[in-house]
Amino acid sequence: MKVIRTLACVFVVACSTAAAAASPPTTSGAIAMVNLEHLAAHSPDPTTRVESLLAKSRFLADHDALYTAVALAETLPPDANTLLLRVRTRAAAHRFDDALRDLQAAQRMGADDRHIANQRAAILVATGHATQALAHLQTEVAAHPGVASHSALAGAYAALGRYEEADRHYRRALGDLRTTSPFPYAWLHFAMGVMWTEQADDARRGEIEYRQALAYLPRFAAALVYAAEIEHARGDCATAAARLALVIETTREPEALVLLGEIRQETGDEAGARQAIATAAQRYDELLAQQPLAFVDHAAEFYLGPGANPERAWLLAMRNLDNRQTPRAFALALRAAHASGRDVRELMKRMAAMPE
Amino acid sequence: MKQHLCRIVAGLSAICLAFSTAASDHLDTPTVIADPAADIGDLYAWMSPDGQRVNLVMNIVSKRFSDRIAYVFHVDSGHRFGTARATTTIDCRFDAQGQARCDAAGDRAAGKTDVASGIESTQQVFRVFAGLRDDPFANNVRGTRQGYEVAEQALAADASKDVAGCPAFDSSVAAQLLDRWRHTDGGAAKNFLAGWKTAALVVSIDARVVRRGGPLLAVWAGTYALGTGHTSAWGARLDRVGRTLTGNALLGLLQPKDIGERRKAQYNAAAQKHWHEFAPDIEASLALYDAFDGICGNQWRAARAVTPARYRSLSKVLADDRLWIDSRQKQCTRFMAVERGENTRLADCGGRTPDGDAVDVYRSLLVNGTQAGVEDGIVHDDKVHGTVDFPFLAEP
Repeated sequence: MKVIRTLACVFVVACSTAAAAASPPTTSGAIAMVNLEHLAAHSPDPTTRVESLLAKSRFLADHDALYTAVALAETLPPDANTLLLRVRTRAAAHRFDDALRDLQAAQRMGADDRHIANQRAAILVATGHATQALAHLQTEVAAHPGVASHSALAGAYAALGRYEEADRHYRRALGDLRTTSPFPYAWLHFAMGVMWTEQADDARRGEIEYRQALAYLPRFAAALVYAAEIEHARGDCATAAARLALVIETTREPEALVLLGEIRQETGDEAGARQAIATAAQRYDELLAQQPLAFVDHAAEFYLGPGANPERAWLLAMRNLDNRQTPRAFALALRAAHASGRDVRELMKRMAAMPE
Repeated sequence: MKQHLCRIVAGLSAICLAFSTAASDHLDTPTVIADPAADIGDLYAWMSPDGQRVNLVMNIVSKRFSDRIAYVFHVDSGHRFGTARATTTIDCRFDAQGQARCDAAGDRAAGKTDVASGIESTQQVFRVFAGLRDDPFANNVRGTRQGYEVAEQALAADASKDVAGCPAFDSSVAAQLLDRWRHTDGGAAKNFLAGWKTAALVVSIDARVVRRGGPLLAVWAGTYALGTGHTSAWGARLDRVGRTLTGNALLGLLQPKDIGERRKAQYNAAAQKHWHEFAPDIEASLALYDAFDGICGNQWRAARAVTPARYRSLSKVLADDRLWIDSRQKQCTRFMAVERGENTRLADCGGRTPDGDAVDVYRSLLVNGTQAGVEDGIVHDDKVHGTVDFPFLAEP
């Protein structure tokens, strides 16, 4: 595979199977991003600031913004509304147990039951228990059809491998959007892209969605990285490298650095590759120090691959598994166990005991 | 390598989040919160000291204007308060690079507008500035919320209401409420928007072209999603503002958050002929405000008789959410002087200026029927804004 990619990187001229995205009827992504950064930096309303920081972290892969959002939310007086906000910051940092505790506290303080149930369902899906959330999310779509309910149900279907149903609900969510903001459009297309590429193994459909996401938001870091991966796999390394350069310009996103390192390696730029991988390792160390649970899985993947430290990958993968018992977390732990020469029988037993 | 799935699911639930504040019109609905470039924070309108120009300011919550939104001042004109015979619109649009193009009364200004002098239209009918400025709106939002909390607690304790819907708050509740309003967390009042910068659209236009229907001008501002729907000449309306606080303080005040937000969204989108349909919502809120000083019936325009229609007159005035100016007057020091019938007697143009404390006047009128008495402890913004020298708002 590596050889094929190398050859492809050297000889294949850029080509794309994905259709060009249509011009979106929303505020330009560049303007929207400036406005988001303005709110994240200056909003006098702490709630708005936290939400803007979360959005900034999500779209720009700005992990420092996530760190700031989490820290700011922890300082707010814990009434029902701020606890619900903290649920989102803690969930974004993968602190799911803490988030669930906040949900319970918010409920005791009289927060809206529906809001609580929706947040709980989102966490159930995120932690690999989509089946438990499904009935509520289906009821929610029937009772309150809209962007939020359709997209939440789509996420659950995607997690359960029901891709066509998920796609249908994502599109219903898109159809229900009534905003000039490019962010929700970009996010929904990105979610569909991840679903088709990563879960359904259909990179062609996934790439179309990534491109659509990028038409709304050209600096959408995760979409750039994922689109670059597909292009890299196809051998279109120049386009992939250009996308990654856009990401690295604004954030030291380690996944972008790793992929750039691979591309440099394949194109014979050994020194450039080493530099990119070393920077990625350094960045993972920083991120693990700031928000360990948010990055253990990413870092484990890194050390299983170009980071070349299977022992560290094992420790990180197990920490990730302790935090959430999803099929992906098990798969990661199994790979780490194999790579570090461990017996996998205990892990297999634990996996077999999973409720879903 | 890719482990973003979890974050996607966690993130999706946050797409349509709602924020709430008690600011003027900032952050009033999820639609405009999603795109702050659509969110009108405030509208100001007043006459120049020589009486020759009408000055208009529309503040947008974002840093930059959208390339897909039309920013429109509507200036209706007539001879009597409440009726208008002609309308002039000032329609500004921006490209992705920030270049502006504004049209009004057959004249056009186009180009780079974020220089302090702005740019003048071809036939010198109007001058326009569009760029980042300090937001002149000053408000102790936290103290206001804490004041509301006192009212909420009293209501939860089953304060009885009269047939007009005004709850009987005893004097201690009223005193506590007004005291909370004047302070922030029990200490000195803090200006929630101190230092906040806003995308300001400032227009100074020849008064002759906007008073075609008469000397009384009724001003409101709207943002429109270009190329969407056919609800107006510009597209679907995303936000609208006339006077301060109508949406944030008078709509959905006593309703669950999602219902209140939906109502405010309907209010923002409503065609002008349907604006009166929001009077019942406003009427219910007015009954509550009237109780805040412990006295029912002393609100501005409240009927003497305690009937279900006690607050109808004011609710109708406020539902027609346009800010009135008497273009014959050169002095503009009294917020809503035209609505209050004081424009001729006091020779005041009314409207709203960037250096005035409109929110205190507004709330006092709703609570005790006078200009003062319900203060939020903030008299003016931390920066000095003017009414004479274009573009009026302080630099950021």
